[in-house]
Amino acid sequence: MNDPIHIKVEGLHKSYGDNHVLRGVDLDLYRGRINVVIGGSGAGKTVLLRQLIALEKPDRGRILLDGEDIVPLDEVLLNRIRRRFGMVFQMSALFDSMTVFENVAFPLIEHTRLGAKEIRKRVMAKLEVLGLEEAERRMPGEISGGMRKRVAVARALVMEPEILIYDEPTAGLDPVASRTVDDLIRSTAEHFGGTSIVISHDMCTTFGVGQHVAMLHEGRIRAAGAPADLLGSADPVVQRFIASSGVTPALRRD
Amino acid sequence: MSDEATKARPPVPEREALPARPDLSLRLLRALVRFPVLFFAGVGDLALMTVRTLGWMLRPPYRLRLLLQAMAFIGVGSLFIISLTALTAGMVLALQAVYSMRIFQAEGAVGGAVAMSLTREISPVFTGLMLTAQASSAIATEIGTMRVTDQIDALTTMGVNPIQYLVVPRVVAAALMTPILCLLFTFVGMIGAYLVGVVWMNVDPGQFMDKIANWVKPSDFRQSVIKALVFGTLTILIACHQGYSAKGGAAGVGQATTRAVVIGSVMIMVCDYLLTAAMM
Repeated sequence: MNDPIHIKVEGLHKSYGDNHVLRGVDLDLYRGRINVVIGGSGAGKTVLLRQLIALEKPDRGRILLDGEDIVPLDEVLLNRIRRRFGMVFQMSALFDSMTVFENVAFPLIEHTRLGAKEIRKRVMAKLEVLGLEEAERRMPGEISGGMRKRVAVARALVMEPEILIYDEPTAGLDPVASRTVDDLIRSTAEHFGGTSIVISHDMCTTFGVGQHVAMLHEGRIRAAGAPADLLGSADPVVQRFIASSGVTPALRRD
Repeated sequence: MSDEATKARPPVPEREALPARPDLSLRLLRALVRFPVLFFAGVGDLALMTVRTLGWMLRPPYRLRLLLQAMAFIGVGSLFIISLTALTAGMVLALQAVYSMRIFQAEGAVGGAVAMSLTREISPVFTGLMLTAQASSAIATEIGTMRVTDQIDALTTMGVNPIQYLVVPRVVAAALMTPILCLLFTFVGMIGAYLVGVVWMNVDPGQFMDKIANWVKPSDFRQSVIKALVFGTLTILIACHQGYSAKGGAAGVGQATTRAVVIGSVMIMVCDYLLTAAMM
């Protein structure tokens, strides 16, 4: 597929009762790049993400994945589409009744007919890349937040998806752990390829790993482009958001 | 305080700016309308989940391991509590029956009376209620926790339907295990009745057994099994539904669990009357 646009969102609307959250989102997400969607609390980032991965149906608009609109698809077809995505949830969302190994093996057990040996080989390969081979028998409750995040990445990657989505990957982590997660996003994109979508309000993550950045404001895309374009934007809303997020002059110069 | 400081202070919003409270009659009307609206919305939601559960039940993959796990949890996990309540229920029924029937020198009929009460009413209702206390509460908590920690969304994003993965095995397990638990309840209950009636209160064992055989018909067992099947399936389905629609963190999970137990218990009593009336 040569089209640089992997996912195209057109005129997306979503309301919950009287609360009109998405008010016509138009967004291009680029193939093989780290796309970051930023925005303040209540801007609609998580709602947009839930539409992208078909957890909810939008009221209006289209989501084109490689040119195919996924909005009208039924649940069975959507289950097939969803296998092309890997998702890293904000709080990792590991199955707490399963070990680390079982969590990572889960998609392979559900969707492939691989034997136990091959599943073990694939899972251990992912765990080793992410430095988790020692934790394979531990339960999610017994490991740190940073390790849980890495297990979530391993689980999302085990089916080798085309698109990897991170929801607020640094939320709730300390600054050191946050930068480790940033490195993880970057190295994962380099190592496994594919398209990455990061939903974040962390400016260090945005400008540290982002290759294409879009800002969501009041249910619409306010600005989009390369990180440098957003840093140099004359739009007062964009400027205010970046400035109030504490982005440093050094980072601006980068 | 300086003039500058006074000027810098933000203006205090006037009380008149607050939206006026609607008058009492309007609030009362809203409260009255709210309850039936919520009730029918809940019933509709449960009906929708039932239809979806039936739909996903027929569609592969069939996860036998999950079904066996759910059967072990619902069946084996409830054995102790079912046996204990059955034994005490049988003992109490026998005690009451002996004292009542002694007035008419009819204590020989204790076995038959207890067996009939157990088969027709006590066993299915108590089995349903014990299942609600033991399994429904745990299921609502487990699925509710999975909901509020995004584990259900994680299942969906991995292309696994959560109804098929979480609800179907539990509901099928309940449908298979509750009738067996109900028959066990009757059996253990009769042991309790025998211990009190025959061993302690000296009722003639021949008469005790004879009246059971005379009074209890196969149709009573059929009624018992049908009721247990309906109660067990319904209470587990309600638990799954409450857990599945939990929101708002730990407090939300707690509320879902309470609702699962309360609604499950009430529905068992309501359905008991309807089924008894229908099968008379």
